[in-house]
Amino acid sequence: MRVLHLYAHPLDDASFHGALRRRAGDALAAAGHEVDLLDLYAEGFDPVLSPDERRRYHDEARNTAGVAPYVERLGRAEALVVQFPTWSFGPPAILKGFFDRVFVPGVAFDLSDPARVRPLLGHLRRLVGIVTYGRPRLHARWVGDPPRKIVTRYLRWFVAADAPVHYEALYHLNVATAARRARFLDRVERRLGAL
Amino acid sequence: MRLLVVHAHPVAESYNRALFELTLATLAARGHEVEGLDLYAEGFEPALDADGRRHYEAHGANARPVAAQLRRLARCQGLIFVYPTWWYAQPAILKGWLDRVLLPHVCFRMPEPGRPIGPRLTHVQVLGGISTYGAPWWFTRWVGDPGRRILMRGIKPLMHPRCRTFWCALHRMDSVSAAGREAFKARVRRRLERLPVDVAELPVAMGDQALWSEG
Repeated sequence: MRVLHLYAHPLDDASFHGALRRRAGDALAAAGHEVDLLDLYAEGFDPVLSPDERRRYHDEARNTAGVAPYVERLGRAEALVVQFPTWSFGPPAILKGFFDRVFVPGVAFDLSDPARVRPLLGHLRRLVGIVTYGRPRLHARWVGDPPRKIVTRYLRWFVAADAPVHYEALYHLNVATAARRARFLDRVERRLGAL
Repeated sequence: MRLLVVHAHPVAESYNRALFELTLATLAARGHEVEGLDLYAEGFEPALDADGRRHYEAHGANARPVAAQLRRLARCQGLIFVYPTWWYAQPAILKGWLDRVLLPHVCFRMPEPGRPIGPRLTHVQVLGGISTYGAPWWFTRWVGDPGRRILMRGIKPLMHPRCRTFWCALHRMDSVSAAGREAFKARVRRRLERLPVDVAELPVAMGDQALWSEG
């Protein structure tokens, strides 16, 4: 399958997310998938929806100007892997901006009948979230666990109705031992190897 | 009360901008001291970059790049957000303000074994949100209204323990009638008029203030 690996962490190889990204990428490649790594920081993605973009947001002929390459990569993919750390209880701003700017009418959803909004990313047949949290799980749940809901409910709505959704989360990373981190790396590798 | 009103909408002629201006005007007319922070107008850079992430937990180095924002936060006694909910939460420019400005040591105490995270914005006594939603209510409810939860449950514990909160939401923004929009404005005005004008002058406990009082 063609897998779009959406990655939102500013640090490179030295970070835990860098290690996760490599293990995920290797596992996918070893299983014969074709991986398109979209590293939002490395590609200098601008997360801010501009005044012009907001004005032509509903104009499907013009609302992808400025993000056309991203729309194309999203359109080519058959599976979506989204990987990010939890900051201020949600995804980093750069990833929020990806949804703001790329998930526009005519690309991610059909708004031609406002009473019946339809998803348009049915070509995505697998969805995987790889997410870390600084805080313990109980605290994330008190806040409603936005990252989990963003993957398992928000993104879930766009992809194929029968697409399996996997959410791999490591909570309380602030105090995670080397052994727990290693186990999580293994878990991510297994999950993506079995995609 | 001294209030900081944070706003994030790119379009000057938008309904959301009108809500921002209504908020500033209503509060000023009531005798509050109001400061507006328009993130688009100020060109705020929302992405926490590699250096920012490396120094995130370093008291001082983490605060310097956003010192001006922290000084505004230190001055206010109440914090109000006026923004559109895009998809499920704040526009990226506002999410990035939360990511970059609400820093450890300055806005909260890092958790330690046996001691949970602690508040440092204890001088902030009111937290409010005014938001418009394009999504139908069922979508917002299904996803769990992350934007509201991030502010009202995630961020609120950084403020004074008895911080008052309010939330005003207009759903189905794209199909609401002109009368519905006016009615929402009236609701927002009434809610703002109920905020207390006189509140306690509490000490600012945002870590070592010398680290961000200049620059």
